Amino acid sequence: VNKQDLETSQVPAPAASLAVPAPAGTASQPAPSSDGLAKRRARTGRALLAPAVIIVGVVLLFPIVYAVVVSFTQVSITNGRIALGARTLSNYHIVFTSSRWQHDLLFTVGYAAVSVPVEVAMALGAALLLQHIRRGRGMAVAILLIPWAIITVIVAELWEYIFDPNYGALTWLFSQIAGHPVDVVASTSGAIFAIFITDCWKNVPFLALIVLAGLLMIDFDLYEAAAVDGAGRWQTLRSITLPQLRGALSLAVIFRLLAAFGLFDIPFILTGGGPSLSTESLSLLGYTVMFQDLKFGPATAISLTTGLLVLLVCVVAVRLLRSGGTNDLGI
Amino acid sequence: MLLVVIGPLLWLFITSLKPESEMGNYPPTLLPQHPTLQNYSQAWSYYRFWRYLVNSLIVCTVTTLTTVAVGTAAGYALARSRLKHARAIMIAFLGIAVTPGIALIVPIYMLERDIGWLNSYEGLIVPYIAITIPLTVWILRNFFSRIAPEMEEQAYVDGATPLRTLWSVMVPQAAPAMFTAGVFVFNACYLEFLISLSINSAPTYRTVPVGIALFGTEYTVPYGPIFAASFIAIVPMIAIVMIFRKTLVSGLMAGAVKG
Repeated sequence: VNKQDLETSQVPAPAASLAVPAPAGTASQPAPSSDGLAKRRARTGRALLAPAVIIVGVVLLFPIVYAVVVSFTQVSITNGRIALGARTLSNYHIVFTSSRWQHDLLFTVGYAAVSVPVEVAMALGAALLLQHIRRGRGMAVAILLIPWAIITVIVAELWEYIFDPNYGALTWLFSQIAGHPVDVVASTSGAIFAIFITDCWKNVPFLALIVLAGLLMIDFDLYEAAAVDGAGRWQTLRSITLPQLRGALSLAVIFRLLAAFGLFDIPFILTGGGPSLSTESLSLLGYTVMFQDLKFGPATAISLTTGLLVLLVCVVAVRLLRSGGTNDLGI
Repeated sequence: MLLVVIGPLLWLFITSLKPESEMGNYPPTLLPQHPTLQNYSQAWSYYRFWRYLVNSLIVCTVTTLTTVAVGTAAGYALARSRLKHARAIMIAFLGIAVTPGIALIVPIYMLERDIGWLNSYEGLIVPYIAITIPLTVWILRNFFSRIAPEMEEQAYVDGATPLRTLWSVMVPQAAPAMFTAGVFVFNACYLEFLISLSINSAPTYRTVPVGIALFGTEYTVPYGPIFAASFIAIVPMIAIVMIFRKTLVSGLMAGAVKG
């Protein structure tokens, strides 16, 4: 988020100064006084903003506050209705001490930490290749936009079929290479690999577009200057392209980090959290505890801590990516 | 590279045309020996896919229209009206935009359960609107703050009210940005799974992703009908991406550069 940009507000020129002085004798509309106009604009502004703020506040903020209350309460279901009992810390205690939650936290954080940099690096590679395509780039870009527009559940079903142990296309290919039957999703590492491949197919093309947008914004003169100075390809990449791409890459990293921490659709379809819960993410755990075990207290504790974790990661990532912003490589 | 994107989709389409007897071929046959549309008719009527498609269209259309209207108004106000807490509101919106679905669905589910909104259109539309507003506001606010203020000022000089100025001067200029935001919102709702699965699990109100995910049982996954339904579901979105690629990509790039 560009701080400066947030603070920049368009200062309208006072209306009166723009009004052409009316020739004497002709009836002219008096220009509204700039003070009155500013007030009127602020009033209209508040009215225009109100629906968005009210909807988000009532529909999202209120439930979150309610969830905080619930998470510190003994929750029971009586006659099909949720009943709140005494105040307690037990919901959090149950969650934090459960080895299943600890595993899922580790899996979610680990998956995000490994998959995000790899996906962004792949996107960077793709964007660097695409940059040099002149003819048909519009079509290439449209094709890269396709996975973004495909329902994640469908993507997961498709890759589940491709990895199917009995008739999957990749299963067949891997078996030919290995020389013996391979069941990819039967092992923990294989299941994580399958999730990662699916994730990449769905998200890397979109990331590549973000990076490509950044690449195309780089001033061509910088490359020419580097060429004049006799910089090689690798050097140009390191001292011009990457520093200039900082904004686009940061955006890609943050965008993916957030999504990776909310990982749900792909493991839900592809592995069901298996084998033996090894690919269960925090979201999957929250869903299971809420809707299968019907333990609302612990479920709110899981969901709130996950939300808090994401918020924390987001703040840290924004700080980190912003602080190193100066380019000290020089040119 | 582009082949890696297209290949699996072709595989999806090819598989959707294979009769059940060819589904289990191993090694898999590249092309269907006896192409058939039986998967399509089965998905459409036996698995009631048309229901899910109608549900998705209702939910996504209502959400998109509402969100873009509300978000355009708010984006304009934040860009132009010099409100006191504009920065704080933008940051709050951003914070909400990054909150993962699981953190929202648990409290929303409990409240909707209490007011009897589970398995209904409003039960899904209302949270979708709230979730997609922040991003829409963000896109449109950035767009409006890049438009030169001259035309707007001229409208004021001519005595137009702020509301009238927004409607007849700014909205026509913002149409491409509103369209881009609309496609983003529609897509986000169309593929949303966790909230839809939690709130509308009854067959009458299932959306496309939930419907497709629940085609299978614990023991069998009917890939033929799943891919037939999937193909029907993805064609409209692919068409939109292809037809409006210029508008979408320039909107996306503006967002990326701005971010």
